[in-house]
Amino acid sequence: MEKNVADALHEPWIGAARRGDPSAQEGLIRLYQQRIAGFVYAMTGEAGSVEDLSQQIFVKMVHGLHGLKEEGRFEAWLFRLARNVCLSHIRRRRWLGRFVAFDDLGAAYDPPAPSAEGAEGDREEAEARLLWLQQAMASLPIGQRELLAMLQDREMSYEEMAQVTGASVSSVKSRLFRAREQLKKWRQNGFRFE
Amino acid sequence: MDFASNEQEIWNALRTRAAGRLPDDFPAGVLRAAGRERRRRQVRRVAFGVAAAVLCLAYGTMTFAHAETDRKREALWMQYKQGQWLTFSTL
Repeated sequence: MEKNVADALHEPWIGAARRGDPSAQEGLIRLYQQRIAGFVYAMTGEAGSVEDLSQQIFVKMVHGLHGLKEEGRFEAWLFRLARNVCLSHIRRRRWLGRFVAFDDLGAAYDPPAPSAEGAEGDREEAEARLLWLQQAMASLPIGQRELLAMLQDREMSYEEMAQVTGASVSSVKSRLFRAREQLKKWRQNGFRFE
Repeated sequence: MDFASNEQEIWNALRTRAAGRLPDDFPAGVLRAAGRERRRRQVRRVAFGVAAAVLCLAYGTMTFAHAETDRKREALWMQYKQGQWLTFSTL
């Protein structure tokens, strides 16, 4: 597999961070914090957990950097860490029976009618779209949700996603296809989940 | 609501909202947390080492005491047998 462009660009930083340089570690965190936060939010659907889980992921990154075998695979490795942290959070939450957030969201959410003119209406519509996306993500199987969460910023290739999830490229492609089809079906169904 | 044409926009909004949940000094906070975690791990490692050493010492002492008791019992038995032999041979 070829090196990721970001990994190639950030290789000196990754090298310095591996050697324990705090400013390089801080720089790496700053570089990836937005993407990781987005991934966490898309995976869990909990805005309140974003900071906590992102911190856990980056603390694991700082501790695990010296064990990273290939600097050119940093991004896939980081997202694998993020995926594992999110999955164990979701499992823990499921085990504790705390599905309240998603279930309530689904029950209470009613797609809004076409909005009024003006900025306020746009904002409401954007909010409704975001809410719908969150609910759609929560309704997808975890295997499809994680791929959409990784793909959100369009910076990952199928090969990288396969590396992160430990699945084959063809399995990643078919899961993504199914996820997109499902989203499309829900959209055509008037933004309702069945 | 035209979701399909704005899909990337919605993802961007999601990412922006998620990033908005992180404080400005997030990287510095992570490094502080990593430092705390490192110290905690060190303490845990030392405690584990001490506990392992104490267990090893206890096991070693017990084994030694056991072996010593066996040896003494054997010696006493030999003395008894020798005494018996001496008694019978004198008689």
